[in-house]
Amino acid sequence: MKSIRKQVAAWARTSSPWAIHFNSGSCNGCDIETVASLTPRFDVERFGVMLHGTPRHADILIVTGAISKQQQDRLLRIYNQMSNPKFVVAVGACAAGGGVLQGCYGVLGGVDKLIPVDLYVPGCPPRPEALIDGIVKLLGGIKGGK
Amino acid sequence: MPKITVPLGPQHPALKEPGNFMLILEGEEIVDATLRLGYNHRGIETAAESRNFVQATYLIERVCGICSHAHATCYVTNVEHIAGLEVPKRAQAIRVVVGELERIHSHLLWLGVAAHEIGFDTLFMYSWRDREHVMDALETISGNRVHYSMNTIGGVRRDISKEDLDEILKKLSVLEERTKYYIKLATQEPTLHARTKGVGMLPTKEALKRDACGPLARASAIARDVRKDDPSLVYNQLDFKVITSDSCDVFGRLYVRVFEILESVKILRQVLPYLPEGPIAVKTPPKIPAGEWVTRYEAPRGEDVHYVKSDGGTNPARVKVRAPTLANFESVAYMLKGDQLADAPLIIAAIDPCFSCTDRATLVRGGSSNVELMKDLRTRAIEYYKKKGIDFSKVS
Amino acid sequence: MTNQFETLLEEVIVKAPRRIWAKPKGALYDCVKNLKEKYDFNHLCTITGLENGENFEILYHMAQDKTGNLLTVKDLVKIEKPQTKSIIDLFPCAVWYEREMLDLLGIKFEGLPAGNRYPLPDDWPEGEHPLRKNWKPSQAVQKEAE
Repeated sequence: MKSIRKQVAAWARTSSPWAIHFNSGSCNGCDIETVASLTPRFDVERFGVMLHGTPRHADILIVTGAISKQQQDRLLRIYNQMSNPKFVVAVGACAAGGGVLQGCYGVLGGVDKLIPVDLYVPGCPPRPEALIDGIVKLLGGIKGGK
Repeated sequence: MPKITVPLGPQHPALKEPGNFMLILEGEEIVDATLRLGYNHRGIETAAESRNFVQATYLIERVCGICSHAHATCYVTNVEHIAGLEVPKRAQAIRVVVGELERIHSHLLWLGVAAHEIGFDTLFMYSWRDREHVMDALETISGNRVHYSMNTIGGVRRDISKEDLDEILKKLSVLEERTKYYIKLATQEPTLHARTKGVGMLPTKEALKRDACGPLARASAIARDVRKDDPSLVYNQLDFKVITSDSCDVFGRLYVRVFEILESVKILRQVLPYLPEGPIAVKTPPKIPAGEWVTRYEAPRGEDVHYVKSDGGTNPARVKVRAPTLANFESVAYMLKGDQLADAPLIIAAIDPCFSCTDRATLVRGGSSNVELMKDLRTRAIEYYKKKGIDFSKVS
Repeated sequence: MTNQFETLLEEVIVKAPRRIWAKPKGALYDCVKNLKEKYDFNHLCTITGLENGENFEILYHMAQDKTGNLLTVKDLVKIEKPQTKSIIDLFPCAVWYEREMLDLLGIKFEGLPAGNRYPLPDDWPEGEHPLRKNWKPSQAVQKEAE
């Protein structure tokens, strides 16, 4: 009985993961590309991915931008509000390691300095195709139980 | 009735970017609002001082991902004035082309976001689909969708070929047709009217007092447009109208932006087929003579002001960025008062806020890992080439 | 046109069409007030603060809507006593520019109401002003980054 429940949960999770988008100090470039990937030309919703507003309902946390010091507590709070299992996608060069903003006094660095990251999508900013490719890879990883 | 304080942001479904608004409510009505910005403060202004003039161009471009060309143009114009460089006519025209394409993309993006805020997701999807045509055009010119990196000190980095030009002109026709559809929608769709008319009122007098700029000012019947008032590049030779509206509400801002797309298409039609012949850039000395300059540029969101000071070295002594959104926040605080809580996201969205511009940057000087990194890389490169028999150590 | 300002400004230089630079004669506040009320410089573009080694320079960039003239009034403030009068009753939007200088350079403005700080983070240590020339991230700032 328990294993069936687990299987159903895994099926639902990989077929329709809900994502929450968090701007931790990005220049907007990655944000608009993240939103663009939801719109008709790219349409990430065909994989069942839906952008959602509340962290408590979300499975995937999409973080854009290097973490600014003012945002670090907020990011942690949102990460802690998400229920397990949760996955973190770091979008863009800044989220991966600080990018051009590395070493700025207002910047802590990449997302992985604060929370564990499951997937990095590089680029400044990454194209929506790259983002979709990343999400598909993440879903494949979840399916494979990685 | 007791007053209730409701925080909005920094993470909120209605805000794509972080900013915090403390709304004080009496029932559903907002009686006061205080703002906390700075969630995106990274430190780019300080960082620019640890880069050389050319490197700083690409750093400044990353102040904002939506109006990146506006910021970069503003910055390089300053440096060119200080250095006394004459920018070739063709480069100026190409800057106008990219700038106007950026304006169209930004306005379509805003239309989508605003439609999303009022719960009209169909329009959101429509406008973002059409926005892809502009993104394609920008990609054809620059090779990238968001940070075009077109500007360099003394000109632009890429030319527009004849084939690309025809391609872009074709896309403009599609866009023009779609824009006309949006105009029809904006003037006839009753749900849009119901949600936008009379919301977020900003009377002309208040807008003037609060130094509003860009579409926000123009929607309050102030014909303030830097392209007309203080023209740079080739704007003084172009024929276009400054769109204004006297409705002073969110509907006016919608009206102004949609019609501005048409004006931008008009400008592009005047520039693209008649690009002047000649080089696209002039050579720039690595050291810029001492001096200071300030430039205004009409970004999609309003007047963008940059100040650059050089003390005769290879790095700028001070770079100051004033993004249009910062000038409009005083108006937001005014507009929120007296409106309904449910309209707050729409009112905030109506100025097309860009928090990353506003909270922009100032980077670490001295002790900065970047500076060390560049030096280390250079020493390593010199050693590498020495082994191959080439000496680069004398090249600066 | 430069003659008109003689009572208000000194060292008036017109560097290019529509670009005027000057220093105030007497108190800066009165100068800005007169420029706004009598000479139609009704638009404050921004205020730039910087340190030139000996003094703080505060540059008020004011524009005329009708002519597009951009006048930069340069006021000097001593580093030992960084204090000047706020102009927010003349230009309400100056509040953001003044708060920014208070945070980044440590210049105090008389008449600037207490409120949220901008743009540095809430937990930024006192007395640290990143735009000052000799500023290096102190231990408190670096510790926070770790």
